[in-house]
Amino acid sequence: MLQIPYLLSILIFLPLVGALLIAFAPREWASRLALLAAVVTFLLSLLVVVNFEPVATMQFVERAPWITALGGTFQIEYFLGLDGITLWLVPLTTMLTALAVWFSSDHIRDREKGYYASLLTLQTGMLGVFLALDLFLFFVFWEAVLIPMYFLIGIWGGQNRLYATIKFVLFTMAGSALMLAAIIVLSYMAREQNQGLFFALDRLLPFSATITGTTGILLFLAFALAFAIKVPLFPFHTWLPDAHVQAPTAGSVLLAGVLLKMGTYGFLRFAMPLFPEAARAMAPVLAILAIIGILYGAVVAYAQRDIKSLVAYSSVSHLGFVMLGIFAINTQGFSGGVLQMVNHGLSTGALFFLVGMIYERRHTRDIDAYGGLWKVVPLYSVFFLITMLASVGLPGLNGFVGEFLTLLGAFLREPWWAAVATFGVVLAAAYMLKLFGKMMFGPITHEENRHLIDLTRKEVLILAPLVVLMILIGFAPNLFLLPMEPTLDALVQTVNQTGAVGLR
Amino acid sequence: MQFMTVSELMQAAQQLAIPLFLSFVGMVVLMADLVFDREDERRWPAYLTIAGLLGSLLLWVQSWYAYFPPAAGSRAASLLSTLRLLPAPITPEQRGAAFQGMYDGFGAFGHVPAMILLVLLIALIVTMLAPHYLEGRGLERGEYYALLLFATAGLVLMMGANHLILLFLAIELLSIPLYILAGFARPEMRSQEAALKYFLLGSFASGFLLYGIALLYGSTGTMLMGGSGSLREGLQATFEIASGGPNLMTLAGLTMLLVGLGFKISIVPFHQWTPDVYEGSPTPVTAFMVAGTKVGGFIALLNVIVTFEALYGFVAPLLAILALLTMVVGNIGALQQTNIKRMLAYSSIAHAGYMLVLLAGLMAIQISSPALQLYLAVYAMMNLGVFAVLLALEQSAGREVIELADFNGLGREHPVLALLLGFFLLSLAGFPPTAGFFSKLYLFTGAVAGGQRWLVAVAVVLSVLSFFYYARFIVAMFMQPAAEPTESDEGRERTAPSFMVGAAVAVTLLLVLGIGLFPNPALSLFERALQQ
Repeated sequence: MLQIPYLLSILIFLPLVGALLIAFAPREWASRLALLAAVVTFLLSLLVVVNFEPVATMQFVERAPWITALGGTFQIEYFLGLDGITLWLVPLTTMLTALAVWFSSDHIRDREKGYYASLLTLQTGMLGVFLALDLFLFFVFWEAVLIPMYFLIGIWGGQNRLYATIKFVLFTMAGSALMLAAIIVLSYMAREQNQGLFFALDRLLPFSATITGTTGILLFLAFALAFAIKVPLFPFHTWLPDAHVQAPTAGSVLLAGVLLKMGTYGFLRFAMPLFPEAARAMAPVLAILAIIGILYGAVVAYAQRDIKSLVAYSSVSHLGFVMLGIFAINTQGFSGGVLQMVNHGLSTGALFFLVGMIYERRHTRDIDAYGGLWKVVPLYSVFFLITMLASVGLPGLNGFVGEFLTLLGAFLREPWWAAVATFGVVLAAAYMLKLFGKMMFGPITHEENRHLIDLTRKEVLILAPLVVLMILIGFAPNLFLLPMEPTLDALVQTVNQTGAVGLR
Repeated sequence: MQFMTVSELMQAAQQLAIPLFLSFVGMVVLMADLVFDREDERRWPAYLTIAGLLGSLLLWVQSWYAYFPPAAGSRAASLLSTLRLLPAPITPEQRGAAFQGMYDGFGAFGHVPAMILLVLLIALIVTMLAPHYLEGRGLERGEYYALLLFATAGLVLMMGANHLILLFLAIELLSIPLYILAGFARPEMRSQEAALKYFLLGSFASGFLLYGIALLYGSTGTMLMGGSGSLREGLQATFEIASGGPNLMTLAGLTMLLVGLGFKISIVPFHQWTPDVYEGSPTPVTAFMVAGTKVGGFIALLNVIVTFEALYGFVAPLLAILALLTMVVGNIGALQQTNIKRMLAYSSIAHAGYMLVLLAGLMAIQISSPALQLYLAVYAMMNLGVFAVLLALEQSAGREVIELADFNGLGREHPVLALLLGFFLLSLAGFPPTAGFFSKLYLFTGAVAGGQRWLVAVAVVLSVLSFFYYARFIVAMFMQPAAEPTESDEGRERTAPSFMVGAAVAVTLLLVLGIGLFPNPALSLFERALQQ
C-alpha cells in the first residue's frame, strides 16, 4: 500500500502544524481546521496499520542526530519507530483525538482557538511519547503532554479545576523528575561502553540489561514511579478522579483513553526491557499493587454518586488489569495487557463521551438526578448498554478478551493472583449495572428528564466507530492480537533473561 | 615598573578593544545628553547607545576571529578578508600579555569570548527596554544609558580579569553605576530604598573582597590569577614541594574573596538584599542585574575557582554546602512571593544554586565549562524575555503589571503577550522543549559527571517544586477572571508595545525557542575553545 517517507514524523507534527495554523486563523475557523488536521492525521495513521509487517523488528524507523555536544560524545538522537506494542495505540490516539475535536465543536464556546490548539498540541505530545525511541526525546514528549492538558483542565474545566490541574501536573512532574535523573545516571553509567553519553534506547539496552542488584532496582524504581503515577497504579491514583471530574469531556476522553496508557506503555517499552532483573524482582510487588487497585478501584467506584468519578475509579480498576497482565511477564499477559489498553481506550472513551452528552443536556452528573431514561432516550441507552457491557467484560465484546488474557497470564504466573483479581470482574459488573440500572430503568423521577432529546446524528457518528470496534475486537480478537504477537514474544524473552539482547 | 613598548600597547588595545570602546561610547552619550535636550531629541542617547553596542558587537566578531582564526579558505575567512577586517590572530602566548598579564580576554577554558558576546547582547536588550519605561515615568535622562555602558564595560573586564586588583576594580566599575541606576526613579521611595540597601551591602562586600585580596597578597606575594608567576602556579608548586596543608592566611583570603563574590551573585547567606533591590529598582535595571550581574559574577567565580584549583579540596565542599543552601532558600522563598519581581529575585537565587552544584563538581572541566556557559546564556535570555514581556504588557494594558492580582485575566485581554510570558515562565521552570529544559539537563549531566549525584537529586526535586511559583502567574493570566474595571481604568492610555520592546521580546523568544529545539549551534559556540 501507499508508502509515505517520514510517516511517523508527519503523524507527530501534523497536529502541531494544525495548532499553529489555528493560532493565526480567525476564530470561526478554529474548530473546522482542528477537525481537518485531526482527521488527516487519523487517515495517515491508518497507513501505519496497513503497512505494518507482523514481525518483531522496529518499523518505519527514522533516525538522525539531534543534539550533539562535546565533540560527538554527548548525543541525543531523533529516533522514531513503531512495533507491535504501539501498532494499535497510535491509531487509537488519532481516532480518539479526531472524535474529541468533533465532539467539542458543539460545546466549546470560550476561547476556541486556544482550546483546539491545546488539543492538537496534546496529540503531538501523545504520539511522540508512543513513537520516540531515544530516552531524552521520549522525555521531552512526555513532559510536553503536560502543558496542553494543564491548560485544558485549568481553563475549560469544571468548578474545582485549578486544584485538579495543579495536582495533575505536580503528581506527574514529581514522577518524571526522578525518571529524568535516572536517565542521566543510566547514560552516565553506560558512558564507557558507549564511548560517551548517549540516550538512544538501543545504545543503552545492551549495557543496562546487565545492571544487577540494588543499582538496577533503584533505576527501575525511578522509571517505575513515573509510569505508575501516570497509569495510575494504587496508591498513586489520587490525582486521577480530580483530573477526570474537572476536565472537559474531550479532556477526560483523551486522559482516560490515551494518557493513562503512556504509563503502561512506559513499563513495556522502557522500564522492563532496560532493567529485566529488577523488573522480575519487583513484579510481585507491582502485581499485588495492581490487584489492590483492581479491587479498590471497583469498590470505590461502587460508592460514587457522580457518574464521571465512577468512571474515573473504574479506570483505576481496569488499568489494574493491564498492569497485572504486564507483570505476569508472559505472552498471554502481555497480549492481554496491550489489548486491554486499547479496550479501555475504546470503552472508557465512549463512556466519557456518553457522560459528556448527557451532561450537556442536563448539566448534572449526579446519578440520582437520572432514572427511567430508557423510555426517553432509547438510542442513548442502547449505546450506553453496549459500552457498559464492553467495559464489564461480557463475552462477545472486547473487554472480555483482554481481561481473560490478562487473567490467564496471571494464572500461569501465580494462580492466586488470578483468583483474587477475578473478583474485580464481578465488582465491575456490580458498579456498572448499578449505574445503568439507576440511570436507565425505573420510573422517571425528575421532570426535567421527560423531555430529553435523544442522540443526534452527529453524536451517533461519534459513538459508532467506538462501538463497532468493541464488537469487532470481541468477535475477531486475532485480527488485533496476531500482528502484535512477534514483538510481545520477543519482549517476554528479553525481560526473562539477564544480559544484553538489544533492540531488534 | 616596566613600561610597555608600542607593540605591546597595540596588543593590549586589541584585546581590550571592547571595554575601551564601551567606556568611550559611554562618555559620548554623557556629552550628547547635554546637546540633545529638545523634546523630540530625547531618544538620541538611547539610539547612540544602541549604535555603540552594535559597534562593539562588530569588535567582538573581530576579537572572536582573532582568538579562533577561521580556517583558510572558509567562508568567514574570505568574507572578512574582502572587508579587510581579518584580525591578526592572538597567539596563546599573547593572550595573557595585555597589561603585564592583568587582562586575559580568553580565559582558562577559552570561555570568556562567548560570554562577552552574551553580556553585550544583554546590554543591548536592556537598552531596548529602557526608553519607553523611562519616558512613562519622566525619567528620560541620558545618564541612564551612560551608566549602563560603564557597567557593561565593568562586566567585560570582570570576566577577563587575570589580576585580583583588576577584578576588584572591574566589580566596582560594575557596581557603582548599578547603585545609581537602582535609585534612578528618584522621587520613588522604593527605588531610593533599593539603592541605599544595594550600596551599603555592596560596599560591605567590596570590603570583604579587598581584605581577602590583601590577605592573599600577604601570604603569596602575587595577585596574578593565571599564567607565569601567578597564584595558580604558586599554589600548585607549594603543594608539590611541601605537602602540608595550605596556610591559614591563604584560606582566610580565599574565603573572603568567595564571600565578596557570593554577594554579587546573591548566594545564600549573602542574598538578603536581592528581593528588595530587585523589587525597588526600575524594571530595566532589575533586568540588567538579574541577567548581567549573574553572568559576570559566575564567570568571575569560575576564574577564581580555577585560580585556586590547588585548594579545590577546600573549596568544593564549601561550594557544595552553599549550593544546597542557595537552592533550598531560593526555591522556598520564591513560593511565597506574589510580586513577580520578588519572585524572579528568589528564582534567580535558586538558579544560582543550580549553577553552584556544577561548580562544586568542577573537575569534569570538559563538560562543566560549556554547561555553565549554556546555562548562563539561557538563564539570561529567559529572564530578559520575562522582563521584556512585562514591559510590553505594561504598554498594552496601560498599567503596571507586577503584583499577582495584576495578571488576572490577561490571557483573555492580551492573549499573545500572555502566552509569551507563559512560555518564558515554563522555560524558567525547565519544561521541555524550551531552552530552560535542555540547559538544565546539560548542567545536571555535567554535575553528575563531577560526582555530585545527591546534590543533583535535590536540584531535580526542587526544580519540580519551582513549577508552583512560576505556574502561579500562568494560572492568574489564563484561569482567573479579570478584575472588574474601575473608574481609573477609563482614562488609561493603552498603546501597542513599542518597536524596541517588541524587538527585545522577539530576540529573546528566538533564542530561548531556538536553543531549546536546536541547541547545536549554541553548544558549538561554547565548546569551540575546548576543541582546540
